[in-house]
Amino acid sequence: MAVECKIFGTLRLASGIDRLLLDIPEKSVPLRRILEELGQRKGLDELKKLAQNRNGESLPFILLLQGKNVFDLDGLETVVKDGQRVSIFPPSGGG
Amino acid sequence: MGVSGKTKFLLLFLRISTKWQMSIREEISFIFKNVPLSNKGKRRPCYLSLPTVYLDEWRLFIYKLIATLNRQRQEVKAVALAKIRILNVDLSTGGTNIQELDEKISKRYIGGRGVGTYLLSTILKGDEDPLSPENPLLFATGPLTGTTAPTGGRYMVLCKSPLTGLVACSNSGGQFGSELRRTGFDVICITGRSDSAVYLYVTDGLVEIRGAAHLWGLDTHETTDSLKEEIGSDSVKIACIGPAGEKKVRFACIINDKHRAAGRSGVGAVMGSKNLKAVVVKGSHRPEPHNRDRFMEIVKKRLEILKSNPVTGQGLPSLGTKVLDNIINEHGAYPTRNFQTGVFEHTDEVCGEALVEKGYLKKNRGCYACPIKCARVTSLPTGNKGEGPEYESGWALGAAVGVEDLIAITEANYLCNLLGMDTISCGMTLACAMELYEKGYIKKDELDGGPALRFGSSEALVFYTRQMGVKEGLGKRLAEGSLRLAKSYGASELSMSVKGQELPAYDPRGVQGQGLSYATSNRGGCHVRAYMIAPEVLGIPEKLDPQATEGKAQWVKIFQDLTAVIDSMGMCLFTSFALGAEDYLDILNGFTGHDYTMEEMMECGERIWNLERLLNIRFGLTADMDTLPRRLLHEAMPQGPQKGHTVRLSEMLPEYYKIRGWDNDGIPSSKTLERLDLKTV
Repeated sequence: MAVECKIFGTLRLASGIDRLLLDIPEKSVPLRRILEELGQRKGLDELKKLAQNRNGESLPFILLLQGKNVFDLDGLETVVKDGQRVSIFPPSGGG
Repeated sequence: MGVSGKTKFLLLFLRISTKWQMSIREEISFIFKNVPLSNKGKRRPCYLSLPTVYLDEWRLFIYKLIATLNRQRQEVKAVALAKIRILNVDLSTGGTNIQELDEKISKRYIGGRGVGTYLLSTILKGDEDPLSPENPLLFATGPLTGTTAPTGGRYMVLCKSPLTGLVACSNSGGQFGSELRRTGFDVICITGRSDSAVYLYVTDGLVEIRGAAHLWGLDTHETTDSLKEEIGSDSVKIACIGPAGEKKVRFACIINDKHRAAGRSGVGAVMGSKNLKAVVVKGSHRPEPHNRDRFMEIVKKRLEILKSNPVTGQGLPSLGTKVLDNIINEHGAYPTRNFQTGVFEHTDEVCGEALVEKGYLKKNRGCYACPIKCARVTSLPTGNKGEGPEYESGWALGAAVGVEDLIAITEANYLCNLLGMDTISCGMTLACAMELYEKGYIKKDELDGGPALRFGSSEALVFYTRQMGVKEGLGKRLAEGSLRLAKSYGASELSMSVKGQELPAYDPRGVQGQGLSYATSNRGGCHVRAYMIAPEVLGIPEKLDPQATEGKAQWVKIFQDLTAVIDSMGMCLFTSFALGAEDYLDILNGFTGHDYTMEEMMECGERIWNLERLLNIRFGLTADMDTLPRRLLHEAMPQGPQKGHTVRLSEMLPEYYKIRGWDNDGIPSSKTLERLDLKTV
């Protein structure tokens, strides 16, 4: 399956990656797996740490699946399917 | 170093008052015999010759001397700062006086926004025209303004708003607020109207009203530069209006330090109506904490929290507030083309990341005592330089008007700063005009030869921004704001405003609590009275479901009350991404020496909120104004992640009134007023 990953904020500035298409053999995977894959890349190693974080209650990152915050879904266990879009933001604020 | 015989002397030169000289004489004679000390007259220079052979004694002496001087300075300040001092200036008569606020009132309203609102309530009867001499204009600092507290440089401008007819209360940073506090005045209250253009020059305990005819017509940068040159000092701090304020554009702002704005609700127009071009401040009184050591400890701890927090320590410094463009757009709540949709297809071109990648961002800059430093210093390939755009400005002059050209957006932002206009109301009034034009209300011949008012037109953006600021052509009508403009065409539903003030950069159809926050804000459409985006979108301090309505009323109330406290203290709201209510309590008590409990502090916030409400009711506010534009309540979001949603305000508003202790008409009950000591208002 193919998942569109969009990277923003300081992560994007650090990695130079703004979006990439992730090709995964499975038909659907938990979001945690996507983060592990992305975490292999230079500048995105924070995502690997995030994927290893078992404490889903306090996600410091903003992770959207199809524009919906995964915290309002199943956190890092949220199932991602073929053709869906994941948006990843480091902790952010403004106003 | 002097030499006399075989003994070397260190010659110390001091310029201190006789009183101090006398008080250190004892110390000196204790350590050295026969040390010469001049004591003729007041504040005369005195020379101390200290024999260097007694180096250890000498060192001890210096330490003691410094301690003595410090102790005396602290005592002097402690007396000076015990009460909030208000400088009253009547521009009609030229009269000035100094008023000290009752300590009971200071404790009840903290300072800044709270004390300013209290003062407004004592001056305004209710039916005053906001642009008449009867409307006072207040510059109010808080107890933490000008101190070492992180972001302790904020001040408030208050008056009755010419845009909404309700309370105007605009916050700004930079260096002006801290310098104002150092003059020894906490608040400047300006009433009346001068016959000719003037500016105020406020220094340590003194005020002068000076002619400003030569400055009238200048933009905010020219005004600032001219005043610095005229006064002959680069260190004076200046808040001024541009042409928009002079011409009383209803959403004109006050610009301080060239790039910081008391932006919203038209405070600049009120300043213009008084023929007041600028306020210049320069002071040397450093506000002293009640207990210096304890306060330093408290500050140090909070600085560490702010620096290590990923939002205030990393996100905001590197990308500024514009880090939000993509977050809000991906969330589907990025208001596009006058809130017709919540997804802007060109966000990639205009976002904070693009500002960095295109090379327009040169560096970040901070306000007084700020560890976050979110301001953007930018320069464009056109050669123009300035600060911004921030998230709100970049959106209002970008997605809101459908413009994807980051250069045009930034140019329009610079123009707003130079002319002295609120970027949000400017962009959203233009967005309203574009919809009016595209729907056939505004006819081509009304454009006075200007470019077509089409969404996405960079040319129209820059052209009409200027026209609004100088009130020329169609700009005269745009300068009235979106509600008056749309009403004049019989289409007030196209004004995306609450209580007459244009909405900011979050479509509440995707963030229900923010919808309630907009509808109940005491200054109309505004995001910084209760920033529900933090919990509903960013997950700070905890993540709430943005489409849930249950429990949101309580959240909005707490956020509104805490924000009132932070604003009144003189700190920046952005600290609340990392700090909690306990931190503010510690800082407030640590500096003032008061012993607020958490309940008491939050009650101050609640009191301020209710006083603003009472003032608004006095100004004619009714419960039916606690609402949102028709579009947001009845037109479902057409696309994106929030597709199909409207704001379910009726599920939240009655609960909000109940939690507030207000009746069904949104009026605080007598029980609530009694509890908050507001019975006499």
